[in-house]
Amino acid sequence: MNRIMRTAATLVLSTVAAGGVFASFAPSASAAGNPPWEPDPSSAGGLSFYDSAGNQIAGGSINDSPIAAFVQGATTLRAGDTKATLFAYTPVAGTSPGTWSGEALSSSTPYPNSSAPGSLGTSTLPLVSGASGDETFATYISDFPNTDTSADGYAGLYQLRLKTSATGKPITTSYDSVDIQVTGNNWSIVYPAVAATPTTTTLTTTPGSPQEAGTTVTLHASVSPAVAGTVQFKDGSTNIGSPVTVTSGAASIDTSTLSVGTHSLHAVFSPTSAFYTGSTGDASFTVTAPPAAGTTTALSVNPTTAPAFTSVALTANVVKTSNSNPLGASDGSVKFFDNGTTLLGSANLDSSGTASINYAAFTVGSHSITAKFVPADAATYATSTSPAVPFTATQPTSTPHAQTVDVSIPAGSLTITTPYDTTNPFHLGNAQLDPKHSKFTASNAFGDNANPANGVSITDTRAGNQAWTASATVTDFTDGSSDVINGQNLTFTGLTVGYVQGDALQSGVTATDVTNSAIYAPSDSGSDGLKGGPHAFATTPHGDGSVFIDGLLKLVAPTSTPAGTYTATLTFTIA
Amino acid sequence: MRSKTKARLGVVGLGAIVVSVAATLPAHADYAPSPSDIVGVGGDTPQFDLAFAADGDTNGDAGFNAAGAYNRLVTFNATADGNARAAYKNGSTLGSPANLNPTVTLRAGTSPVQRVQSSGAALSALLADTGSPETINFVFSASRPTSAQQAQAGTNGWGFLHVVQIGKDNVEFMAANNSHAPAGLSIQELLAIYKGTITQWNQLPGNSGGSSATIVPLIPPSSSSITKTFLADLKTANGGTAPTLSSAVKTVEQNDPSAITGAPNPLDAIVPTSSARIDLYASGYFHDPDTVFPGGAVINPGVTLVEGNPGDGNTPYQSNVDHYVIFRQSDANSSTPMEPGGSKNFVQTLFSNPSAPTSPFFAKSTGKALVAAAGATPFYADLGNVT
Repeated sequence: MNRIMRTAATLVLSTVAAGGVFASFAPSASAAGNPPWEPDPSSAGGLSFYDSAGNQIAGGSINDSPIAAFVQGATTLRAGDTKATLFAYTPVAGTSPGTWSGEALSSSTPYPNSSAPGSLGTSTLPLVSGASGDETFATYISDFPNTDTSADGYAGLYQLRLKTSATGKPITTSYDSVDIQVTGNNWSIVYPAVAATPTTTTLTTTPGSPQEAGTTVTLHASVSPAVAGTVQFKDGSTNIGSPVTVTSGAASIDTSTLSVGTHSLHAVFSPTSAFYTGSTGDASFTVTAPPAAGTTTALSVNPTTAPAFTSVALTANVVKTSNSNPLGASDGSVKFFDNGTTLLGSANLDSSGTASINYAAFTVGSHSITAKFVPADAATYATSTSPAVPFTATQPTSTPHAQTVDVSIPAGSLTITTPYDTTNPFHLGNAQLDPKHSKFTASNAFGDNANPANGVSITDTRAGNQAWTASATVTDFTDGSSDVINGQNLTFTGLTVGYVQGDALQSGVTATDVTNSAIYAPSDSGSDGLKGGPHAFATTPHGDGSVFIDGLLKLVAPTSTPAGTYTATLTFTIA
Repeated sequence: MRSKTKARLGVVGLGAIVVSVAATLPAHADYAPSPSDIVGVGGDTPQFDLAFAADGDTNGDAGFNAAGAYNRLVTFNATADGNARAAYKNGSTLGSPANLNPTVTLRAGTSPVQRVQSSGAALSALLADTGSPETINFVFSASRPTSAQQAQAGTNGWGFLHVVQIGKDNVEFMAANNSHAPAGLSIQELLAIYKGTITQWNQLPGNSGGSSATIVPLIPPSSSSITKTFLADLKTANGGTAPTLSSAVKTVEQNDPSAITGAPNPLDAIVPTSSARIDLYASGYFHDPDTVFPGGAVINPGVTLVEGNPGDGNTPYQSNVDHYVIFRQSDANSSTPMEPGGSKNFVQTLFSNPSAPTSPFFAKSTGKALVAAAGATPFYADLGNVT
């Protein structure tokens, strides 16, 4: 009977083809990118594929059995049907889908299937429930390979069809279907096109912000809808661990390595299925510095009784109070006191948290010795002081003879000098006319590498290794009558610092050019250039020694300036 | 031991076991296969395994042909009747049955030939089909080929007859609901009944209070696998000597409840049968044949399996009988694909593929489900050259 029906169908198709319907199988008549045979006239709708958790999938491995846990048809092919079967077919170029060879991939499974997850369990649409013994698509490909390797649009494509049946009713002739592309060991739906559903990811933390550094913080990502995928947690652009698999719409990770400061945390969700888009949840989290760790200082005095002026060993041990672990060599030092105020000496901690000195100047009498830990970083460790340890200095075995030794440190001086004065003025030379810019310009090197002493010489012999700042100020230039060149037009630039070989001072002096921003008229009362101020041009935080500051003194005057020789007083100061 | 529904369903009078062939329409037999269809013939016992596998069952489970295969799997039942009843000529009686010898057209364009009605006859037909192209591609059988048949296959140039087991079944005894038979019968009691040394129910050990009616022992044809299995069991029970059956033993169609309900004294008739067939009856597959299209109610076969404890203290009779498909080994080696565009020949597609053992249709869950729907216990084993 089926043979007769099949023959009849072929005849009808041939008849229609004569009217031009065959063009629907030609690539030129298909939508761009769609398989050439689409739309398949026997297909009533598409198919949706789901994994065992009910997540929709758009592809998978051809080695999976079943190909998908659930396959749902888009249409009710025939009212009252209760079983669905999944078939596979291999397209053949230039032929109708109804003539293709294929075979069943699944058994005929009942629907509705209340044990299916989510909405699949209540849907009345045809549903194939896959089983582990179902044929893999790899086996199907072995049985009915697509050998088309041309560019006709058929290569690598297969069609999956769902048909329905019921008790006493044969299987339907129409079907719901999709076309899949097989690449390597994977298949994916190519027709009908799949529209992705957006997801939303929310990121929260436990405990909430802020927290002290070192606190274990759990980052929670909630993904809606609860589809399969992974979440990559990030601190800014840096990954926190590896991607975490999402289970029931949630993923989390613990971290205790967030540094002090404010962090932009992210949960980047990547869905497994192409049916969903990825999404990112953000949260700001502040990590505060922990309080300085408490320390405990213990002191031993050996011996505790000895003649005055005998060497006594004072040994302090410093540990972290919370765990009694000794501090390290770089964690600080210990100061030893007598009666809480008289400093006896200090020593750095060694690698075992110990600091010790030998003190040999105890005078006769009772002494109360303490050791005070002074941390290198007060944010890391807190100061602690040992309990007082008594020490008794007895009469020395011989009478000591105390002598007084003194020394005087001279106050020293800080001087700044130049080779020039009123009888030996510094000459800027003849000013040159610059007609293009309507100005006169005169300049001369105020000392240089070959003659550093022709510039500014600074010598600091003061005690205390003090800082200094050198400055300069200039008056207006006058020609002895009423003509004036504004002192703001004088600059001191291209400054270099020359150190004196053999001095300790070989760095640390900073020279700053003194510039101006315009050519000023005689009447301008501003303090640009070297006028006013005084203008600092060299400074150092520790200045013992001598340096030379050389540069270029340059004067620019307006072309309205009458001819003549103009002089000004340039005063250097240092403090 | 298989678990059976023990409820007695009540006697349904189906009339005499003589039925008119003109009124029967074989369920899967009117289609004349094309030259490239895959055609199988065989015995009654496994026939529904193959029929369902080809075209699906009535529960909506799709068969092999549901994929729209260009070359179809076509099987011809051993019985001309879709309800698996025998067809007899007018005037046939239980004492003198006159088989109709129904015919079937195995290939389009050929004349009808006598329908293969048993596993033994099927193997004989296959061995006689030496032409090209083949008329019969495979056999479904409840018996394995004999050594002589394997030798003949070699002589035919086929290598051997390749055997694949597709299911398991049991030979048990069938009696009418409310039968005078006791709850169970042992092989020792059946040996006495079929030899004629016990002729009445109350002569059975432990059944002196039973009916004094005369037992009506029935047996399927000698070519039936059910009969062969039962007779082999009688021989064993008889000390290794084949017993001489009583003249009261009458031959009836195998696996047919109407052989019981249509007997002259239904309450006293017993016959060995396939338990799978009784399961198929219980599934509601068979409908009242006396009602015209679209058909009558589900048949209540009016019979039950005699599975209780026998009065002689022995175990109730039950013997294994397996369901097989058998084909030429030369077809297993064929390079001709079954389907256009396919890569596998019909043997690899349907029955046996050593390079992919789980890929043949009968090895898949799909095929197994259909064998189960036919009442048998699905069991796939590629046995190869066995007897």
